[in-house]
Amino acid sequence: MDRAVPDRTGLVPLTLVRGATALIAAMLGTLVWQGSAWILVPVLVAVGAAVLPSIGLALLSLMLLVVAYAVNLPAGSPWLLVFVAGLHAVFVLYLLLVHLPLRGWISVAALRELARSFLRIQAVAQPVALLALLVGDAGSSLTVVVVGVAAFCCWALWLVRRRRV
Amino acid sequence: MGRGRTGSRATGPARSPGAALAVILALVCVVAGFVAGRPDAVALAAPFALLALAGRPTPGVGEARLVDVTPDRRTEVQGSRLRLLLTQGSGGPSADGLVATILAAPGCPPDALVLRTGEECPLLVHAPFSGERDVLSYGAARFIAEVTGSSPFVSSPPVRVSILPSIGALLARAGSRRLVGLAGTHVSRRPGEGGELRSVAPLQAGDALRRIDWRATARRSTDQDRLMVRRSYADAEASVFLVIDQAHDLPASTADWFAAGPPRPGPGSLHVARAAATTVAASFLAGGDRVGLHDLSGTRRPLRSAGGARHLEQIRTRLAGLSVAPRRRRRRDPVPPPGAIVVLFSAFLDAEPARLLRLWHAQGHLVAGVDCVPPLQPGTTTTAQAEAVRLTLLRRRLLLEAMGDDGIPVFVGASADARLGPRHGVRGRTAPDAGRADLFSATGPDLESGFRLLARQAGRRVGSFGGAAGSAAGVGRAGGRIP
Repeated sequence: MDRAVPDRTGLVPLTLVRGATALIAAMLGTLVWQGSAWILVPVLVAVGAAVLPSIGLALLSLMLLVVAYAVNLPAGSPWLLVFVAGLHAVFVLYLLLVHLPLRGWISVAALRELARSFLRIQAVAQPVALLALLVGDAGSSLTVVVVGVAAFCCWALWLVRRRRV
Repeated sequence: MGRGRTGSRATGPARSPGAALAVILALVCVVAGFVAGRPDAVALAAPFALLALAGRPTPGVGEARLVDVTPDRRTEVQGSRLRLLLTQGSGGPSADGLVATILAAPGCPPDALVLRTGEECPLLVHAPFSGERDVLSYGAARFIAEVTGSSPFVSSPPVRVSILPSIGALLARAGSRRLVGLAGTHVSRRPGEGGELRSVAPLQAGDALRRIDWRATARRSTDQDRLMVRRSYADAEASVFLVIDQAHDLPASTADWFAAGPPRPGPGSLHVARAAATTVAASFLAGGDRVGLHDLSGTRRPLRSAGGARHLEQIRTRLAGLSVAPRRRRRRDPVPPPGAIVVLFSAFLDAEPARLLRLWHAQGHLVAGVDCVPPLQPGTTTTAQAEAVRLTLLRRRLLLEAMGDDGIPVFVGASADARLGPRHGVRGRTAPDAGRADLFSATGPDLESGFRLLARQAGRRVGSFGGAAGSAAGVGRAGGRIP
């Protein structure tokens, strides 16, 4: 059968994007399931969510990661920063792939656009995660918490002003 | 080649489930964090909350098309591939974001192409050999860069192209029995302006002075009292009547004979008919003859006989527009112009084309059939299918042989298109079909040899003013002898 194929460079096959999505989800699962045999469950769900056009599987995969993080990882773990970025990336890729047929291509410019949007949101999410770690570590020290909250508020305000300008 | 229908159609509601999913995940993180008393778990909700905020409804684009796919004028057909250009539609968004286009070639599962807003992308699709066909169906949806918001999927009308049949090598031209007009390159039997010498005779009233032959006058008029003039036969043009049988479009692969769904992109008997008819028309029009076109299904008015390069383009356009249509019940059979050469292009799957050829032959026309079945590729999957193919081909063979016995020559039309591969024989024959090669292989001369023979026979007949039936029968028998 003769499919319609793009005739230009700068395109990435969707198969690669699906594989990368499943890999990120599996790596996050490895972190939170900590070598347990149950790791197979989130991995399989992640692969299914990356391949099948099912929003339910995507939700299940993300829930397995979030709940497992809250249950298995100790409070104040520095992996929080990785998790915040990883969950965000997996969520965005799942949402993109769930609308698309199994085969296809995505342009490098479109991936760059996705990365820009990802960084915009991470610019706020990472300081929030840092603040949460700070609050978790120095919960009794009011000064540290106040300074941290103030710094975050200044950062957020600067971002908002910059976006408006 | 050009676009067909216009307009667009929006399907389904606009809302994306992404924002709802982000809200659910954010709530789960917050609840899990509060229940476990862990601020870091609450912090996991941050990206989801921001994504939910970003997932505002996309500015509506209404019924406007997000993308357009048009034939790329800079580079036309590349072999069997056609180059199209995907561009942002006139009603597309101007803000940053992604546009996901779903592409589906006929008979193929869909593919996705995700581009940044405003990006262009050339596409290669399979082009039909000739004729009008939908080559690509497509539709698009727009996503914001955060992917939590999207516009509704808008499907566009399919890209329809019309490929004109190619012109093969010019063929020898037979002269018809009754030549008409004062143009053309055929020699008629009536006196007039032309290149063929008829007689040298004394000057009479009405003879043009420029026709005086001074040498003949010096030689034959010894006392110089008579002037001799050269008289010639008038040049005239032949009239050719092309008849297309579009009741069937027999695919090259016998497996496709039983396939349901849209027609496969491979060559079929209708393509062979288009290519052969174009070649025959071009050959006669190049010699100044007149060519008319008629289809047995009666879907359109016949193209009346005319000459010239512009008429050839009209014929090609008309041929490109041919599609399979059942034959209508007619009150009367088509009537070729008086004395015209009639060439009928058909797959000869039933008796009707043969009956018409016999009728026109009996009326005194110089007739020829062109067998338009492409080189067949056996590929049936069941015994019943194989038997059905065998019986069909057997019946066809009997029809062709009967026409040969009646003195009606039938040529192999597949030779008009070099892309169809070997002129005769079976391609890709499988073991169970090997014994049936005689049925699968084409018989009779190819188009070039057949028309050369036809021209030779017609020339002899015109030269000797002999009987029509005898000379046509000679062509038929001669045609059958050529391997």
